[in-house]
Amino acid sequence: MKEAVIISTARTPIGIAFKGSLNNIKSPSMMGHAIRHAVERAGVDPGMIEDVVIGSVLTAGTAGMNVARLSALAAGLPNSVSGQTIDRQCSSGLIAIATAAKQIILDGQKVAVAGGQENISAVQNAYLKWASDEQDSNVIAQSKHAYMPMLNTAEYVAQAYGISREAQDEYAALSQKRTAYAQAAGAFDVEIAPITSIKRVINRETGEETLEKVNLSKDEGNRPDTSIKTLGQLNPVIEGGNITAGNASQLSDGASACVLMERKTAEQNGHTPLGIYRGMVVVGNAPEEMGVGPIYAIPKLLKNAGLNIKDIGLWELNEAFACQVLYCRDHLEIDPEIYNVNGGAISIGHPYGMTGARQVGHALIEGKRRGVRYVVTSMCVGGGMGAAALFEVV
Amino acid sequence: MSNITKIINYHAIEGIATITMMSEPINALSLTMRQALTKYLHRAIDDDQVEAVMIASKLRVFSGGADIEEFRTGSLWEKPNLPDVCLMIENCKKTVIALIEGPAMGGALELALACDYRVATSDALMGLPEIKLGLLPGAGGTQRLPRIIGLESATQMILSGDPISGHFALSCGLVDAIYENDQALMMAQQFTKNIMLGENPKRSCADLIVTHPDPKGFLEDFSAKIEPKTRNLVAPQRCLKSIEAACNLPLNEGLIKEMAGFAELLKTPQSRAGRHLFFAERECIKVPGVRNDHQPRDINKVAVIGAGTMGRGIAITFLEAGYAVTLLETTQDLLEQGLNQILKHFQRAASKGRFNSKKAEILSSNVTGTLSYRDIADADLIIEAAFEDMGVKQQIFVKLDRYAKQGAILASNTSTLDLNEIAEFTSRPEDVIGFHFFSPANVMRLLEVVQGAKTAPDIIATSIKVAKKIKKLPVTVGVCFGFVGNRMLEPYFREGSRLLLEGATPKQVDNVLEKFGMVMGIHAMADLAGVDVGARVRQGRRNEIAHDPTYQVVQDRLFELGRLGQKTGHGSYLYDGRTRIEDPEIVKISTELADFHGVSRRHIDNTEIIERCLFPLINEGFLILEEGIALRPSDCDLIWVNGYGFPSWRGGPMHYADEIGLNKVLERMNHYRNSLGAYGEMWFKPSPLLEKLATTGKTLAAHFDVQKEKL
Repeated sequence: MKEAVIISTARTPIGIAFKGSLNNIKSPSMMGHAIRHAVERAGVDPGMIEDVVIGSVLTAGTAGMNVARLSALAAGLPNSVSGQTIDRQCSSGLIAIATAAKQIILDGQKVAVAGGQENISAVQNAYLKWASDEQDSNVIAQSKHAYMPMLNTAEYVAQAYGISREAQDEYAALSQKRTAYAQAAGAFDVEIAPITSIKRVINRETGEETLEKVNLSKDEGNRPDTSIKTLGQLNPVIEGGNITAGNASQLSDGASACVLMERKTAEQNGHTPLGIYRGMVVVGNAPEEMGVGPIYAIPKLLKNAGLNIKDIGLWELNEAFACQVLYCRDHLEIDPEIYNVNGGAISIGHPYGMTGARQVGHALIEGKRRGVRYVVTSMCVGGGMGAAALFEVV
Repeated sequence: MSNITKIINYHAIEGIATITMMSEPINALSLTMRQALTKYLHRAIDDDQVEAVMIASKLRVFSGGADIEEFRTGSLWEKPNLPDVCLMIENCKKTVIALIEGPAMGGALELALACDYRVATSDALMGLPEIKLGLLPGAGGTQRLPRIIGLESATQMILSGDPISGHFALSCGLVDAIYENDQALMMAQQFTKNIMLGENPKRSCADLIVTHPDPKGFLEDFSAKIEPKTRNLVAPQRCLKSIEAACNLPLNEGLIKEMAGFAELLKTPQSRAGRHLFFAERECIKVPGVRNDHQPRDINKVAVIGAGTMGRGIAITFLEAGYAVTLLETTQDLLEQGLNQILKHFQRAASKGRFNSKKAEILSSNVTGTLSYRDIADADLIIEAAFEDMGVKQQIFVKLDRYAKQGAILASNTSTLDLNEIAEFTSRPEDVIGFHFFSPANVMRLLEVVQGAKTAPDIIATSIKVAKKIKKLPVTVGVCFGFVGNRMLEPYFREGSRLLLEGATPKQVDNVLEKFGMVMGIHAMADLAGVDVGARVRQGRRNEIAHDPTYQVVQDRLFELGRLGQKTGHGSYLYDGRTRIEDPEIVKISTELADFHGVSRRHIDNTEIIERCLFPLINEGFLILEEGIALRPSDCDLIWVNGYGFPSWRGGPMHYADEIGLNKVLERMNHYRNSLGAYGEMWFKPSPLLEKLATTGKTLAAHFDVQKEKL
C-alpha cells in the first residue's frame, strides 16, 4: 500500500482576533500566504500539485465559496490545482491533512497541499448570528444540547469531572510559560512564515478607525508574564462558573499549510520527509461534554495502530479549555512532560480550522528535534466529537 | 513584537467624514494607500449620516505622490489605480474637500484636483514634477489643472515641473482658502460646513471648461518658446498636446488621451533615463561595508584649510547649510581676501533675493578666520582645499595629525593626488577621507566621497549624512588616479584633442558634443577650467603618457604660449568677455604639430567625433567598475551628469551604453583599434568586462544586478 509523507510545513503567526494584526485580512490571502510558503519550502513544482484541502469552520464571507480553491489561486498556484474545504469544527485542519493523505494513498495523487485557516475577525460575528438564528428544533428534539455553546460545554466538563478553578489556572499558567520559553528558544521559527498585513484599529469611544501596516513575525496573543495569581484575578465568563478568558483558548486568526507527497515519489525527487501519515480516528460523544472527546478517539487510534500510550513520544492535544485538556491528559495517563510541550491554544490562540494543521506541523518538527518516533495530534470537537491522528517521525 | 506603520485614519463626526493619511515618510500613493482611500471613500459615501468628506494628512506633507518603487514592482496601474480614485472622488454625490498642509506633488496634487474644493496652509507647495522624469501627469493633471486655474498658469506649472506656494495657489484659484498651520483643521471643517449650507456643494471638473480667448495660439507660441531648450526632449511637446486635449475635448475623452500620452512617454528613452537617474540617487548612498548600525559622528564645527577658489566655495557651502566654519590660511592677506570674498558672496546672494538680508547676515557671521592650527583643534570635520602638491598636503596633514582632536574627520579635496599616501602622513589613516568637490563648489551638486584603503565605515556614513545637509550628492568612490569623474574625463579629453591633430577644429568637436547633449564641448570646458590645470597634471604623469608622443600636444603648446583659456582671453578659442570666437591660429598650431609627429590629416565626420570621444569614456567606466573604484554603473552616470554636464536625458554614459547596446560599443572600439594603427592599439583596447558582457548579450545593469522596472 502507498504511503503519504509530509515534506514541508508553513504557517502565519497567529493574530489576536478582532483587535490584532490580522483583523483586516482576506481569508484567501491569509491562507494563500501559508500555502505559498509551504510550497516554496517543499521545492516542489506547483504544476504537480493535484489538490488543496483546507479545513475551516467559519466558511462564509471572505472564507466562503470554497476558500480552499480561492486560497490556492491567491497563492499563485495554477488553475490545474483543485481545492476542497472541509468542516469538522475544531479538527478541520487535522482532518484536511488526513483527507489529503488518503487521496495520495488510495486515489493515486502524487502531491497535495493540506492545512487550515480561520478568520474569526472577519467572519465569526455574522456567521454565528446567522447560524444561531436558524437553529433547527428537530435537532434539539433529538439531542437537547446539540447547539450548546462551547463555553457551556467547558463548564459542564469542569463540574462533571470535578476540575477545580485552581487546577485550570495552574495548567493555563503552564501553557503560557511553555510558550514564552519556546518563543525565546526559537522553537516556532522553522514553521512560521512572517506576514505583512494591514491592521484596523478602532477607537470605540470616538468611532475613529485607523489602518496600520504591520509586519507580524511571531504569535502575538500570548502573555509571558502570566502567573497563577494574575489568572486568579480574572472573573469567570459565566457568573458562578470556572472558565475565564485566561484558562480558555484565545480567539485568533491564522493559517497553516503543509505539502504531502506519495512516499516513493518524494524519495525519487530527493525530498526529505518530516513524517509519515499513519491513520486517523473520529468518534462522536455527547455534545454537552464535547471536551472529553479525545478520551474515546485516542484509545481507538492506538488500538488500530497496535500501539499503547507509552509508545507515543510527543502529544499535541488542543488546549480548547484548561479543564478538558487536563482531564483528557490525566484520564489517559499521558506523561505531562511530553504533552503540549511548547504551550498551546490557551496561550497562543485557536484559529479553529488552523489549529489541527499547526499541531501536525509543530509535532513533526518538535518530535524530530527530540528524536521520538511517534507523535499524536488530537482535539475535542464542537458538537460532541473527538479526533486523533498518528504520525511517524522520520 | 512587530513593526507597525500607520497608514490612514477615518473619523466621521457631525456630518463630515475626515480621511487622514499618515503613512510615513510621505504618504506615497501606493496600492495599499489607494485601497485604503477607496475603502474609506466608500464608507463615507454609503453612510447617510455623512454629508461631506475631507481628505487630509497627519504628516508634514500632504503626499509626495506616486510611489516610485511601483515602477519596479509594476503595481503602479494595479486597481484601484490613481485615476480610479480620482474618478471615484469626482463622480461621488458627496462634496469632497482636500486639506493640503505641506507639499502635494504629482499624483497627490492630481488627487486634490479631483476634489470639489481645496484649502491649504501657507507653507503648502503644489506642483506636477512629472516632466522631470520625462513623463506627464497621468492621473488627470493635464485635464483638470487648466480647467481650474486657467490655460496659461496650468501650462506654466506642468511644463516647468516646479511647485507653487500656498499663497500663489490662492491667487490663481488652485486653492479656495489659505489657513495658518495650527488652525487649519478647524478652519477647514468650518469651510466645509459653509459649503454644505451653500447652493452648489459639488463642483466637479467635468462641468468646467478651459476658458481662453485663443488656446491654439497660446499653445503654439509656448511650444515655439520652449523649443530651443527642449529640442532633444519628447515630454514637453507631449504635455502640450495633452493640455490641448483639455481645451478641445470633454473631460472623460481628454483623460483617455492623457493616459495614452503617459503610456507613450513611459516607453521613451528619455523617461527611462530620468527614472534611471532618480533611482540612481537613492542607490548611491548604499555603500557595502557601511551598515545601518554604523553611527554617523556628530558634525557641528567645520574647518576649511585654504581660502582659494575651492576653499571659499566649500566654506560657503557649509555656511549656507548653517554650519560654523573656520577658515585657515597661511598669511593674513590671503585670509582676509578669502573672508571678504565670502562676505561679498552673501551680500550678492541677498541682493539677488536668494536669502533675506537678515538671514544672509546670520549665515555669514558663522565664519571665522585663523592662521593657527590650534584654533581648529576642536573642529569635527576639517577639509583641506590647499594647493595640489604632495609636499603641501604632507605639511598640512602632519599638522592636522598633531592638532586635530581625536575623532575629527580629516578630509582632502585633492583631485589627482593619492589619498592613501596622504592618509599615511597621519597616525590615524582611518579618519582620513577624500571630499572631492567640483568647481564652483557652492554650486555643483556632485561630491565624490573618496574611500581610502583604511577609511572607517562610520566616517563614510557621516560623510553621506553631511553631504545631505549641505545639499550635495555623495557618490562614494575608491582611490585611483582621477577617481571616477576625472579618470573617465581623461580619454574623452584626449580624443577631443587628438582629433584636432587629425583634422577637426575645436568648434567642430564642440558642436558635435553639444548636439549630443553635453552642456559644454570639451574645448570650451578646458578653456573654462584653465589650460594650466591640465598641463600641471600632465607634468606629474610623464611616465604614464610617455608612450604616446602626441598626447595632448595642442594643449601643451597652448600652455607654453600662455593661452590659458578664458582667464587670459585666449585658449582654444578667443574670448570677448564670455563670448567664444573661433581662432584660425588653432588650425595652424594643430597642422604644425601633426606634421611634426607624422599624423596624417583628413576630413573627420561627426560620427567619428562622437564615437571617439564617448566610447573610450564609456570603456574607462567599464575598467573602473571592474576594479571596484565605482560601486555600480549608475554611480558613474550620476557623476557624469552632475559633475561634467553629460545630458541627463540620456541617463549618463553607462546607461547610454546599455541603451545603444554593448555590442555596438565593443564593435566601434575594435573598429578604431584597428583603423587607427599604432595609436588605436594604444588607446582603444576594450575592457575585459565590456567584451564579456557584449558577447553574452547581457546589459551592464543586469550584470550589476540592478532591479529592473516591471512596466
